[in-house]
Amino acid sequence: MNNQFDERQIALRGKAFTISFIVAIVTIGVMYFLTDNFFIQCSNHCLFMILLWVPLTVCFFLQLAFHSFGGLQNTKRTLIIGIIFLLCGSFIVASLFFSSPVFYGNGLLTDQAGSLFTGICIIFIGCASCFFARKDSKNDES
Amino acid sequence: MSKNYKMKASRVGKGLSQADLAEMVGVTRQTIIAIEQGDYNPTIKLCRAICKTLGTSLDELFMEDEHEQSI
Repeated sequence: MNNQFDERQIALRGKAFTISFIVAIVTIGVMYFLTDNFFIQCSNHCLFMILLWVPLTVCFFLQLAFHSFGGLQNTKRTLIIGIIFLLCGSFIVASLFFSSPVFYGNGLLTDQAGSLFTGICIIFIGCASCFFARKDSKNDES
Repeated sequence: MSKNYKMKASRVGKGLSQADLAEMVGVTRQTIIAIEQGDYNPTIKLCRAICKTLGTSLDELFMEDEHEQSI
């Protein structure tokens, strides 16, 4: 593999994966609790997207916050990935709003609500990537 | 963990920035910051690489004095 991580990054990446795995389990529990007890129904697509993107977003964010996302060539890679995520997220949200979306109908959250949630998560990851890349690029002594 | 002032002093004494030292020992600048701040406890392998680069011994950089331990 071309990309290398130092020992601190490897340890913190492990921590980020562990926390996001726990978040994934908690999210599954919460979603089933909400749909069973509070009668908040989701379409299959929406439910899948929520269960997928909540732990993914947490995982990305923790790795960025721990400075263990981009390996030894941290800043450039993080910034490029951040910009790609921002563009993709913006495209998802923009294309959704151009098609006059319905997010809640017939007592359930629609597929479009799931897509909106995905877009928001991707934009959040993109913003976080750009923020941390900019922060890391400042070469000030701490 | 207490801050590692000895390492910072040794690095500054050699005229190296955190980024320079990080590149020389093959880690990220954030790792050097974390070691100096006392937020990360490096492995013996990394300690040795830092000592070799700064031209000091492990005892000088990473061994805590008795009065430091009591604080």
